[in-house]
Amino acid sequence: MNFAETLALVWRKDMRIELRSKDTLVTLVLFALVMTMVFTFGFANDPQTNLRVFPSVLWANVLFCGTLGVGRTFAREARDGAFTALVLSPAHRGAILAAKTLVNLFLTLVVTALTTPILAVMLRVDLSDVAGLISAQLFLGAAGFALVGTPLAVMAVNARFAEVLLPMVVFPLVAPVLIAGVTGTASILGTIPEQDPRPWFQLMIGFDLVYLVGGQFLFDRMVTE
Amino acid sequence: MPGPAFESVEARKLGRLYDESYALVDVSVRFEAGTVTALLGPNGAGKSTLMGMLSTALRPSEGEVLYGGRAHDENDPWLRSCIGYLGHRPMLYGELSATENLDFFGRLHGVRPEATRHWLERVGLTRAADRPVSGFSRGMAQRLALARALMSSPSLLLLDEPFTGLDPEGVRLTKSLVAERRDAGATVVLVTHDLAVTDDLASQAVILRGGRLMHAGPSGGDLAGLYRTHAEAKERRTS
Amino acid sequence: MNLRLALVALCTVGVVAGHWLVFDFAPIEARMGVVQKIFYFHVPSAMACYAGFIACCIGSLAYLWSRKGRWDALALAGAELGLIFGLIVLVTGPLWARPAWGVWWKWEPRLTSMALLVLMFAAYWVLHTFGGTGEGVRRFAAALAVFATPNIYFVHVAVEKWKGMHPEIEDKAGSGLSPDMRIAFLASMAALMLLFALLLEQRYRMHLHARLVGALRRRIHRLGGDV
Repeated sequence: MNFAETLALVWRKDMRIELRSKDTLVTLVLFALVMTMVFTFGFANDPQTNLRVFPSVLWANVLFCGTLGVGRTFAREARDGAFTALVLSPAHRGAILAAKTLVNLFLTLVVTALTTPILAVMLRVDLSDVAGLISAQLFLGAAGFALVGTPLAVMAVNARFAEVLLPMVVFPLVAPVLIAGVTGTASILGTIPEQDPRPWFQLMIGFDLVYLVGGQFLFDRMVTE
Repeated sequence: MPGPAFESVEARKLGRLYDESYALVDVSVRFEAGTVTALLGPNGAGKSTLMGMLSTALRPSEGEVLYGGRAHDENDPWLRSCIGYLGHRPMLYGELSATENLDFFGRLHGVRPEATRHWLERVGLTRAADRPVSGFSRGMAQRLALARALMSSPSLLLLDEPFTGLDPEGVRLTKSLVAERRDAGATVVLVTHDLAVTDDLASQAVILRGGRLMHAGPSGGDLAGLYRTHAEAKERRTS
Repeated sequence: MNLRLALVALCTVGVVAGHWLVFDFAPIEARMGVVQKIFYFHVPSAMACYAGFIACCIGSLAYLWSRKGRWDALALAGAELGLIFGLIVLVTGPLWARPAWGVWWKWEPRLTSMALLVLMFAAYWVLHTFGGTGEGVRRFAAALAVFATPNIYFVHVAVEKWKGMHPEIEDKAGSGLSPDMRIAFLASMAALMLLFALLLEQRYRMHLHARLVGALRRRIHRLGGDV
C-alpha cells in the first residue's frame, strides 16, 4: 500500500464511522449554534458594532469546534485500542496522520460552513461580496488547527484529563492563526484601517506548511512508546 | 502459503525502563519458529512489556530484538507486516461491523479481500458478520480480534491472554487456530494464566518474575509445576 | 564540585555588585526617573526566559529521539525556569508601563508575545506535572514543546503585524543608554544569566534525583519493604 492508498483507506474508514454514529458532527453543530447565540446576545446591537465583533465570534467558533472535534475523533480511536493496531500495521504512519488530519479538517469545515451563514444573518453582516476570501481564510485557519491539533490529540490519549488538557495545550499554539484569522477577516470586512489581508494569508500558509512538514517528520517518533 | 519470514526471534539483553525503574531487566531469550512458547509470571512480572517490545510497539531501553538473526529498524513496515499481535484490548472499531473491521485491517496488511469471509468463517462469526462490534460479547470480540491478528498469516504471533472471556468452544477454537499457525512455521508467544489450557499447546515455557528471566526451556507438559518452582516459590520467600 | 562552588560564589558577588551598579552607580534616567531601573531586571529576565524555553525545546527534541530520561529532566527544568523568569517579565512590564504609558497593560508586541509564550510553556508544565507520571505523558509534553518551537517565531510575526497597524509602537527605555547605564545593564545581565545557568543545572539534577528516589522507593516496596 502506498501513501495515497493508505490515506484513502483510513479516510473512508473514519468517514464511515462518522456518518454512522453522527454524534461528533451533530454535537459540534449544536455547540457552534449555542456559541453563536451566546455571542449574539452579548454583542448584537447596532450594525457597526456587529461588523466589528463578527470576526472574533467567527474565529472563536472555529477554534472551539476544531479543538473539540480533534479530541472526539481520537477518543474514539483510542477507546478499544484500535489505534495501536493501526500503528502496528505496516501502513505508512505519515499517511495515517494525514488521513486523520483531513478528517478533522473536514469536520471543522462542515460545521463552519453550516454556522457561518447563520452567524452572518444573526449579526446582520453582509458577506455576499467577500464570501470567497472569507472561505479561503477559514479553510487555511481550520487547516492550521487540524495540523497542530491532530498529532497532539494522538498524544493526549495517554494523559489524564485528556479532554481538558488538549484545549489547554492547543489554544496557545494556534494563537498565531487566531490572530491572523480575526485581523485578516476584519481587514477583509474593512473594519480596521489596514485594508490588505494578504500578509495574513501568507502567515497562515507559512504556519500550515511548517506544521504539515513538522507533523510528518515527527509522527513516527511520537507514536512508538 | 509461503514459509515463515524468519526462523527465530531472539531477545538479547533486553531491558525496559518506566519512570527510571526497570519493568524488564537483562532478558535474553530465543523463540524458535514452529513452536509455541508460554510466557508466564505473576502480575507485574514484565510479560506485557516483553510482548510490547517483541511487537515493536515498545522501544527497548536496553538490548535489542533480533528477528531471524537480524536487528531491524523499529519503524520498518516490512517487519510490522510479519507480526500479528493480540493485546488485552480487542483493538477493533466498535462502530464498524465485523466484516468492515477485518476488511480494514486486512487491507492495511495487504491481505486479499477474500480473506475476510474466510476468517469470519474460521472463527465462527459468519452470522454476526454485519453487526457492529460494539454489540459483541467479550468472547465474540475476542474471536474477531484473533481473526484480525491471524489474517495476515504472521510469522510472529503474539497473544496476550487470548483465552480471556472465551467459552470452552472458543478456547478449543483458539487453540486449534494457534496450532495451525505454529504448524505453518510461525513463532508463537502466548501470555496466559490458564496453565491447564496451555499445557498441550506450549512446548516451551518462559517464566518472568519482577522483570527478570527465571526460566526458559521446554515445558515438559507440566506448566503448573514449572510455574510453582520458578515463580511462586520465590514469591513466598520474599514476602 | 569545586567549580560549582566557585560559580555560586561568583554569582553571589555578581548579583550583589549588579544591584549596587544598578541602584547606586548608574545615573537616574532623566525622563522616567527611578522607574527606569526596572529595565535592568526586565530585559535580562526576558533573555533568561527565552534561554529556559530554548533549553526546554532542545531537551524535548532530544528526548523524542533518545527517550533518555535526562533529556526530559532538562526540558522540564528549562520550562520551569523559563516560566519563573517569564513571570518576572510579565510583572515588571506592567510596573514599567504604568508610569511610562499611563496604563498597566498595553498590547505591546513584545509583551504580548511573551504572554503567549509563557502561556504555551505553562501548558507544558501543567501537562508534565498533572498529566500523570507515565512515559506517554512525557512524550506528549515533549511533542508539545517541539511543536511550540516554530510557534515562537509565528507568534512574534503575528503579534508584530497585528500591532503594526496601530501607530503606537513605542521604543522601550533601551535606546539611549549612557555609558554608565550600559555597564550596569551588562553586569546585571551577566549576573542574571549566571544565576539562570546555576538554577537550571540545580533543577535538572533535582529532577533526576527525584526520579531515582522514586524508582528506588518502588523497588523497595516491591521487595516487601516499607518506606
